[in-house]
Amino acid sequence: MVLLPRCSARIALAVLSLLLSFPVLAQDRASLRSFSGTVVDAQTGTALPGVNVVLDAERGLGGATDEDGRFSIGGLPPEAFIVRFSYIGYEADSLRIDLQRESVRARVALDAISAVIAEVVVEGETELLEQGAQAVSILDTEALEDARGQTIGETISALPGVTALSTGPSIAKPVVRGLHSDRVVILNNGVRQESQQWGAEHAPEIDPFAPDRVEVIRGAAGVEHGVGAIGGVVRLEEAPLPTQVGEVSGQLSLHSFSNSRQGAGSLEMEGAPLPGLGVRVQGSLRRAGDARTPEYVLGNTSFYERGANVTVGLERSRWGVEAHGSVFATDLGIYRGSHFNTLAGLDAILERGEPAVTYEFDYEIAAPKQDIRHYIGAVHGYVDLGPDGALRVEGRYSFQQNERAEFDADRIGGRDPLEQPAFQLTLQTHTLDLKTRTAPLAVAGGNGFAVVGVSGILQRNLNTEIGYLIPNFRAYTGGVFARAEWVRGPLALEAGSRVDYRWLRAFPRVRSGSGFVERVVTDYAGWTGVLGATYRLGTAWSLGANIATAWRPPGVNELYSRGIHHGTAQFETGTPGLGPERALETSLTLRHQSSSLELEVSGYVNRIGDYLYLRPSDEYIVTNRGVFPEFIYTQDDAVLVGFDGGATQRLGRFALGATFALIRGTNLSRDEALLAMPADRLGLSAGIDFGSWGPLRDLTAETHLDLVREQDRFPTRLDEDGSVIPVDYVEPPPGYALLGLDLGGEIAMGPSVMRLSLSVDNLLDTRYRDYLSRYRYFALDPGRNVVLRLALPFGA
Amino acid sequence: MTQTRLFPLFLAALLLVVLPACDSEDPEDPIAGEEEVISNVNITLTPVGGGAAVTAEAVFDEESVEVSIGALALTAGTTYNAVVVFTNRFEDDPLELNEEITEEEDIAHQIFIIPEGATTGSITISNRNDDSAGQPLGSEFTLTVTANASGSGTLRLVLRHYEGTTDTEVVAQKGDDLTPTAQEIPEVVENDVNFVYPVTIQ
Repeated sequence: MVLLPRCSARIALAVLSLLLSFPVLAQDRASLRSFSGTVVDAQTGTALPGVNVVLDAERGLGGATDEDGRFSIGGLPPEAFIVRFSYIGYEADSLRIDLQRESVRARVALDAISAVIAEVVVEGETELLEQGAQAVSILDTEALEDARGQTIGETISALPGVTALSTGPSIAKPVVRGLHSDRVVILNNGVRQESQQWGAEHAPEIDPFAPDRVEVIRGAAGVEHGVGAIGGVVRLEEAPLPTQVGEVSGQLSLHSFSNSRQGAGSLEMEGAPLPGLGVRVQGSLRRAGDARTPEYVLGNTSFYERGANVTVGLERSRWGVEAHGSVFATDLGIYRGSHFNTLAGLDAILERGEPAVTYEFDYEIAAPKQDIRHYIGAVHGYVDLGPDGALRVEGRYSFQQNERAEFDADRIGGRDPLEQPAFQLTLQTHTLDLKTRTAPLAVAGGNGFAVVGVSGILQRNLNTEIGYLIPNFRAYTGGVFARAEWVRGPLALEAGSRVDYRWLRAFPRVRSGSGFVERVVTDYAGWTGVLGATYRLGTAWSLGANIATAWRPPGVNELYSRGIHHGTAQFETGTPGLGPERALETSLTLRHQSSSLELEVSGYVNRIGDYLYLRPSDEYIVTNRGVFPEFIYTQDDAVLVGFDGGATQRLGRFALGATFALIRGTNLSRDEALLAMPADRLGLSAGIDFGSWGPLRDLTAETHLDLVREQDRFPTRLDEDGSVIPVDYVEPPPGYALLGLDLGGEIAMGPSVMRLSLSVDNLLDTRYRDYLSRYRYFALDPGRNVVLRLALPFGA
Repeated sequence: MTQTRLFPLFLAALLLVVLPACDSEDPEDPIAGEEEVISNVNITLTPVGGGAAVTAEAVFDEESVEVSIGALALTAGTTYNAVVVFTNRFEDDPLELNEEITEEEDIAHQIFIIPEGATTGSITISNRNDDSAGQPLGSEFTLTVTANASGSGTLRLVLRHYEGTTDTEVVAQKGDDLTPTAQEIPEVVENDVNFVYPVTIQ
């Protein structure tokens, strides 16, 4: 059901026509890129020093190879170039490179004038050196393919410093450096995802098959991402649209998961009917039954998910415009044994630690469950103004509607729980971003560019007649920002600043039992700033230092929620007078990037003033279902300190990898540990590339071991009888080790290449509970899962 | 470049026109957010030999939090006919809830009254009524106060629901005890109501 009230439609139309009359906006890809690599003699393989590498003679973009035949040209705009390589005695050669998405490395072989064959190889590797001063991890197309079929939260939890806060198999939220929900901004194809993201059991409403690339910026980030990015930014992007007229191409992906007997599939097709006019259509389906732990079935954890995306873009020499629409729908079951209405019920569950009844596997989604729909419509465009496109003006408008209906396990009087949700929320968000960016300019002996922009968000939240989880509200948020980057030789600097204002009018219930609501208006203003520097040490190493400050206004749940949380048996009370929280993060990141070793290690200190959290009040609230411990939204000063990173070492056919994350969260005001901080973890992997074998190509095998330590730092509170217990009732579960195996390969099928992979997660069917799994109180985490993935590309 | 400069003006004008136009749709409806809760529980005790009935009402808000709970003043040596009624004052038909609890056959309910504190030995419950399926219900019962008893204590009121896919399963779980002996297991049996009325005996 798409509810587009008249006023929303009016705004959508007005903004749409405005954008169309003034071709604006786009891709948030304002980072400087680099082009680097080596040039060798095609016959002998010897390095060629002094080769001219020219990207754009008019703009003076280019360089030459050094004694070892290496070149590295930084500070480039994110554009496509025809690069010309020339050297006395050799055939000049050209190469098209596209820096719009990422930096490029290339190995170029030039032929001596007498030689016949020319060979140009582009490795197209992501050049991490130019990722800026912050820790960034990327899942490219290939890495994503290998993880397809999982939720976005699970997919990115493989990255260093990222973990998943899960509520069963269908709900996983990304936790970046210990922070999640409202503290992590998710950019879905350029649109800031706005839903009921404050809820720990509300997963991002994103089709996991749609993104072609995922980037996670760890730490307080980004003046261009708006308010709230205290923990980090997760950026999901689709591939650029095709611009060359040609055959329709696409990919069919099919996946099967043994654990929940899940089947998933996605079909994507794209083409360019006219030069510069690209179209992409994609749809996906995931259907799973109940998940299994090594010992029992988790009743009612099945889900059914659908997604569809359409993108149309027109690209011209000086302007481009793109329209995007997406629909995402999921119906997901909540494990029956995790839903309880009384403290006695929870006590019994905690004592048991496993299901009270034996569940049979099925695909049925019964109560309790969530039904969620998310719609996005977005238009973006850009225009290059002035001579040589000295100024690019970009704009993006988006409308999102999030519909969430949650059904309790029971309704009073024995009414049918599936007949009517316990609550139903509709959140509508209009977002408008405008910015203008200069082309790289020669400044102070280096290259630099600047971006300035404004953005506005208009939001409203509506409850239906039944149920009132968080109040109806209307919010307006506006911001202005400026950012600049400058590169000279090995040094790159970045500075940015942003100011935002948020006005919020909410309609919380009057706390008298009268059924009436009151009208409360609050407003918040805050400043975001970033200062970063990256220094290259030789060709492979670099060091980045970053200081960022970001803020987040209190969420409506933190201000006004009031009621029993049926997943935790807590009575949660909002505090209307809360102010914003502010983070100041300092980080240092060391990177190495060469053909044999890729490494990134980052250390950080994130101090959060007025950190907002739910604190046990040590009071008990009397309700008609017994007493519940009260938790009140409170503010204290906190600090998060940690190290995270990863490395991959290639040794011929072999590759060894490691990722790790350590984090310590402390409530400074009360000198106690922060709740739900990810436990220390280490991931080790070893892979081998077998090459070809019969009709199979690119055969690989990899085994990985995930080691997670017990979380021994957690806060405590007083129980009803005065004894000291952990805030969340039970002590964190013990550490665990999980073994996994991946096999992959390709088979040529006529003109296309089919990719096949077989993975086994939790190979040994280990019994474990993760500290960040919200089902850990009630049941084990899922057992062995055999996953078969098949990708069949077709067309060009 | 002219276009660039005009753009923010365009935007400002647009927002000025569009935003006020939306204000008429304030989400202020007081009906919004009606809850399905047991908001009021009334107990009425009528002396068997005649005399004024003793009543007490427990009132809860939309989040089931206690607003007020009335006290019961009982007379020693008296036998009462007791009736418990559950209502939701936030619904158009507050009594519909009570009909569902006392007549529902798919999911069985049972009401327990448990004397606690100083009244434990002085109050006895008997003659609990059955539901339409002939299973113990307990919305009506007889309450007897021992002669010469006095003091104050509490009367705990528990409303339980039992889940099962068949009547046999439900009946097996229900039992016929005077107190809810089975441990709460949300998938099987759970309390919908559990609070105490203050009681004094004179």
